[in-house]
Amino acid sequence: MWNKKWLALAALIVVASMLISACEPEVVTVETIVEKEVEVEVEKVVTATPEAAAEAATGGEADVYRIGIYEDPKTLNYWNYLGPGSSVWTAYVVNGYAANLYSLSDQRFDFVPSLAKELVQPVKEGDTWVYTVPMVETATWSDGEAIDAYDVVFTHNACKDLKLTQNWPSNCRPNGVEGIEAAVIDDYTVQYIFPVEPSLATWNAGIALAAILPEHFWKGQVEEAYGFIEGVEMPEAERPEDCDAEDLDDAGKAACEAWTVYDEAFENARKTLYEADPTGSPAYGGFTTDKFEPGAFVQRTKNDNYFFKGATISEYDDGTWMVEFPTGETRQLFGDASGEKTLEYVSGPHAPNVLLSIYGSQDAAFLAMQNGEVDYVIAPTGVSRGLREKAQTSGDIKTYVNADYGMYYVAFNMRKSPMDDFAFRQAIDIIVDKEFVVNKVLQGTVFPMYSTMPPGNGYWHNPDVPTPYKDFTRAERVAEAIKVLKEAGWNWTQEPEWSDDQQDVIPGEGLTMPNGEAMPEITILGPGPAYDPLRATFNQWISEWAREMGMPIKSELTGFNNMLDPVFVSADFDMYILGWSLGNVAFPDYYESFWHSRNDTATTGNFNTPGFKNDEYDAMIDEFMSTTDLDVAREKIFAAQVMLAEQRPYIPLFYKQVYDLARSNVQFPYTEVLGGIQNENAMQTDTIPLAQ
Amino acid sequence: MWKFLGKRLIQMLFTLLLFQAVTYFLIDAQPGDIADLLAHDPSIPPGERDRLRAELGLDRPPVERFVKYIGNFYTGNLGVSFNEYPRQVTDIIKERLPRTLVLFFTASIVSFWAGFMSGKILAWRRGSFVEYASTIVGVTLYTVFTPWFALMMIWLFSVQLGWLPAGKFLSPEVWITAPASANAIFSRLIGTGFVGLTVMLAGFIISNKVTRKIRVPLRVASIIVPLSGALLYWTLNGLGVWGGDMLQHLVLPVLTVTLIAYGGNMLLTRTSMLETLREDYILTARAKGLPDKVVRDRHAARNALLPVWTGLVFSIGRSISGGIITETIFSWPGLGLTLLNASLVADIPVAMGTLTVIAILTLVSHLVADIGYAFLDPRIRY
Amino acid sequence: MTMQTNGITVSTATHAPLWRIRLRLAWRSFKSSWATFAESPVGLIGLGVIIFFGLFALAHPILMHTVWDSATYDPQMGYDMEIAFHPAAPSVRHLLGTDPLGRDVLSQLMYSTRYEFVLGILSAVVTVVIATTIGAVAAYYGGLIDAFLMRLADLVIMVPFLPILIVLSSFTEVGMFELALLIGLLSGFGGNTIVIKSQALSVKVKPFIEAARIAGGSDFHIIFTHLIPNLLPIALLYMMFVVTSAIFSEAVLSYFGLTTIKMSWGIMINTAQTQGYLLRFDTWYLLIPASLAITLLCAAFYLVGRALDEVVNPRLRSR
Repeated sequence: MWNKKWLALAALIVVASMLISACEPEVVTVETIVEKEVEVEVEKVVTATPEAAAEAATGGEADVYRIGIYEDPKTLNYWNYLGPGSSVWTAYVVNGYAANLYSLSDQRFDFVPSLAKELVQPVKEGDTWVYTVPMVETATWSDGEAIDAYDVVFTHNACKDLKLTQNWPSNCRPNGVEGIEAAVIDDYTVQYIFPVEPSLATWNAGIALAAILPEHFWKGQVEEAYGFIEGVEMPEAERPEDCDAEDLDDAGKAACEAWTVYDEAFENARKTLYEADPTGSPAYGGFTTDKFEPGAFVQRTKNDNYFFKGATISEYDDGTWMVEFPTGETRQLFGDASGEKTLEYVSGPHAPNVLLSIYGSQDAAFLAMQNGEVDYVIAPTGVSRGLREKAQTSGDIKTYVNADYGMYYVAFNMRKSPMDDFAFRQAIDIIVDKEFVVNKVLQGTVFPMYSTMPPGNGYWHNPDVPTPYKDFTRAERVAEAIKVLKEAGWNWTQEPEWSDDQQDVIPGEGLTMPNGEAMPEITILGPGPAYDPLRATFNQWISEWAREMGMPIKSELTGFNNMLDPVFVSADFDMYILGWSLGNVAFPDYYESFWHSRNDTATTGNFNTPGFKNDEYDAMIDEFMSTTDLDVAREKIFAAQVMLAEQRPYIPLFYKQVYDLARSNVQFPYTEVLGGIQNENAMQTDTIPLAQ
Repeated sequence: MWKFLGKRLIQMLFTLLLFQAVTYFLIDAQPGDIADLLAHDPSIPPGERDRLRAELGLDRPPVERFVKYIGNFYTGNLGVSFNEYPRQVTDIIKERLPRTLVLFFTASIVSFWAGFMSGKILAWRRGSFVEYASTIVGVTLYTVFTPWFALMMIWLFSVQLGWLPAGKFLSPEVWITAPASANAIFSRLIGTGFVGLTVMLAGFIISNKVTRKIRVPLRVASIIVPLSGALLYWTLNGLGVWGGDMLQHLVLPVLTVTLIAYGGNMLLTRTSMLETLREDYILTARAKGLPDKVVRDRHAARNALLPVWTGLVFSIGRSISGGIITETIFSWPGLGLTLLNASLVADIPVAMGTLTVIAILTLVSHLVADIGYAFLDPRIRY
Repeated sequence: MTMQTNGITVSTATHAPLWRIRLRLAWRSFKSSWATFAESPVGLIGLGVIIFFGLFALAHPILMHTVWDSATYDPQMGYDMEIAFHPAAPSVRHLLGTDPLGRDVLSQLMYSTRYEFVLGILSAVVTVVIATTIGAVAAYYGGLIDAFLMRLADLVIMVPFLPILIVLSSFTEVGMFELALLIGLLSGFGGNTIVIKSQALSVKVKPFIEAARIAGGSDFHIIFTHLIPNLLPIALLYMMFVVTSAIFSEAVLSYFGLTTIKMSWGIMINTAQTQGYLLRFDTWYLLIPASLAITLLCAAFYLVGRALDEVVNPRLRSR
């Protein structure tokens, strides 16, 4: 009996081992890959370990800087990142992959040289304007290859010739200026030739900041992409309006075909480049991205070849910006370094590794930070109040507060009545008690906004924008709004009235517009409470106050996707509430995008949603966009702010503050900056994570 | 049987096609396509939005796009993700499907087994305090607000007790040095589990055919052997650290999903058992004086299994959709989470791909259910 | 209505009007059903919870008109100026505290209850109307119509409920009413139809249907006056389960921020989440009352459904 049992057992073991080995072949392929990767891994460890040990001994620095993020990067390919693969999260993962000639300085956003040796002025040569930029000769990519003028021209041409999309155009044809040429003068001198006089918008905020990618790595893939457009010429016939139209004649059909061939060639070229494998591509900045485990983490390794590594960057309150390299070489701009030092730090990369850990939600990420699993959590959508309060009670987590560079606003559709009536917009501005909603209902988590430029952007913010109704009481607001409307010819059968007894408004009735008609019913579109309680709350209060005035206004709370079409495509709305993040701090070109009449959404599909059309404003902004003088530009934006506050295509409602929560072992190079630490370039490279 | 299978397969294909048509046009009807979302940035120059739309093929009429999509689909090309352009949808699904399957298959099987076992005892003990108490527990688990319940589990097991990790499917710091990708190791885990379970099941089936004396040791062996085999394999292959790390992360989500599914299975078994217990043959069996346990397990339970089995099959499709909740809360990047994000940004190819995978799984599980009936109920023949 | 089910033949010679007899019969059958229902304590518990929530919902407008001043206690626009910091812990003024936007949690909870009932019952009614009509039609006619309707049901069953709601909600405005319709449609065309159809098949072969047909009743007449009334008990049973799933689905969708509902239990939890109070247990009053309410009301309808099952389905009765 026992024998039988053992036999059975033995048989089972044999079967089990057979089954296990049976599945082995399928695993074998994995095995070989595994071994290869082990080797690579070992190499990495060899380079990283002594560094880490040395630093831990001297400064007590941690060997990994752990950052929490919420979403996978869309791509690791920088071409794709500036194209269709752009996302906030991707930016953190590919940060530092591209070099640039100039950049914006820390904290102050001044225009400073990075790989260029100095600031240069354009020279007029015939019909063209020429910038000749001398480049530093010692900068290298992370693989040791030199960064030279060929890389600059290579990237510029690829962007231009392949007509790269999305964010690329501002890198080679900024502000719609076509035909900018780049040329190699010698290994370390590059020349840009402009067909028109380069303005601040095209040079300082455009070409000078353009991405530069390594030619030696990408050459093959870019050539492959060029292969698709070789010999493809732009059709001579004009692009037909609608190729699906039934009454298309033969010439039209031929034109359509020619254009299709042309478009497809470029599409294929771009796609080739966007899907090219970026594995092993060298970086310029502090870190290279070495491992991406989808849904889990991204691991980045220190680049010791980073040009600025070890350099001391300092700023003084007289405006001086200074870099001292370890070699003793220095760069100094904007002053003679007198006065107080406002900033000083040594450029990194400091941590041997950066680990970007991906979490499914803000709650999960902050829980992890509390447990010490991550050092810092990037929160571009803001840190909610509850989490912030909780972090403040925890000794291990520090909170850094900065002004956000954004604006939440209510917009009017000025193509429609009564939103086209100046008095109507003014009356709405009067009755909207921003201070009440912000300070009471929203508990001071946001700040009331009066100018279309957030006050955090000190250089461009006009502090003299009038705020006539700022401290009005409810009674005063009602009285003033009635006065303004009546002067413009509006009437009630029964006027609204403030009642001191009830401490409330007795609603008005029978409101008629200056033309004698009853005011039509209008809606305020806005995100629902589930998407954004702040804007939903504001929306409901505005319509509540309007109803007290006898205006038939109602809030329509909906999803963001549902607002895209009425607001940004067909421009068919009455009023809406949304918010903008405002982009380049150094050059606020959004004044053109949002209110210049050439960008009217209804006619062009661009971003002037209110349909604001004012010749004086247009002229002002045209000058701003074409000037080469920073002071003139600033003057124009100051005037534009006053005019917008008067004309009110938008009524700014509030701006947020950015909260950065990090564990106390993280040493940021600086913590005061518009837009928050998460917007700093220095956030990864120059930060020192200390061992806990 | 073969004729039945053939007919069913054709029906399935037809249903799938219909399903794809309905969902495609539903998703497509969303206002504001992905080009609006991706190019919602004034610093992107005018015209880029239209160019992007053309590049993604969104400038063509929906019917034309659908025909093209279906053509591609049945030749194995699921297209390119809009949101993660130009990544292949097949690639995305391959990456995330195994995670979802492991989570829900494990939970489904465990909750099915536990629910069935306790349900049949409950029905037998009708009217007792235990029955009412367990019914309340079962109903609570069945109707509990899932996000809340999952949060409570996290709070209890990872915040308060600190036993288990709070989310994610691996610990990044452990994995920095991992020699293989997470998916490679994960598929090995699945392989091990599969082989182990097969051996175990084989052992139990064989043990039913042999004499009573060797039955018990054989059963013990069929548990110990696969377990120790698996342990041995994972110690020897040098990947044990990472495999173990993943297993540890699997515990909490599996436990949560299992508990939620358990309530439903238990209640269903109970009802089904009650119905069976009224059958004449049960009365006969009892009248013959057979022991309670035999009547319960051999006569009643076997017949009561039928609807519970149906329930299990139906629950597979549902649990994947319910997975949206669990996957979000546990930062578990599976299919549910993918679908949620894809529908939010109108990433048509990914949303379609995910929905189709769920549909195929549902269809296949219905087929398996029907085949299962034939085994469970000898009266059913195809 | 209950004539046929109880198998009582009513003589047409009686003097009392027909409606009174019907009423009496209905009352009698209700009493016997109630007796069966009342045997099950879980059913009674469920009914008790539902009644409690019903009163809870009714109390809200009364409180708003008497004790609660609307500027402070309005569930959407209220704000308590006298408390400096919100969310405030439970106090005499606010029995369940206030939410991060300064609104009274108890008031929100009570106000939402009304809509949960409306949502649940509306979607259940839609489901029942669709499911019984389709079930009856499919069973009565059979053949091609039956095949078509049943394949449709298969298709709808296959559609994963929550994902499809998510997809739908991202492209239409999903308010309370739309959601109720959607849930009603999806559950009406799906599994419930199949169950009801099988019941209808067994009714269809009963002699009185044949009798009605011989008497010259039109198909329409037979379906709506003879077939459907006999399906109602089982339909009522399935209504309860639809209510459960409707309330649950609303809560999940709102939790993910996919609805545009202004106030509901799901929105309350969503507010707690977006404001970052989800994993904080010192502010339990933002999360627990709403979650508990969802679970309790869902469970209550489920329990009532189960107890009804024993009334409708005699094979389940204990004796």
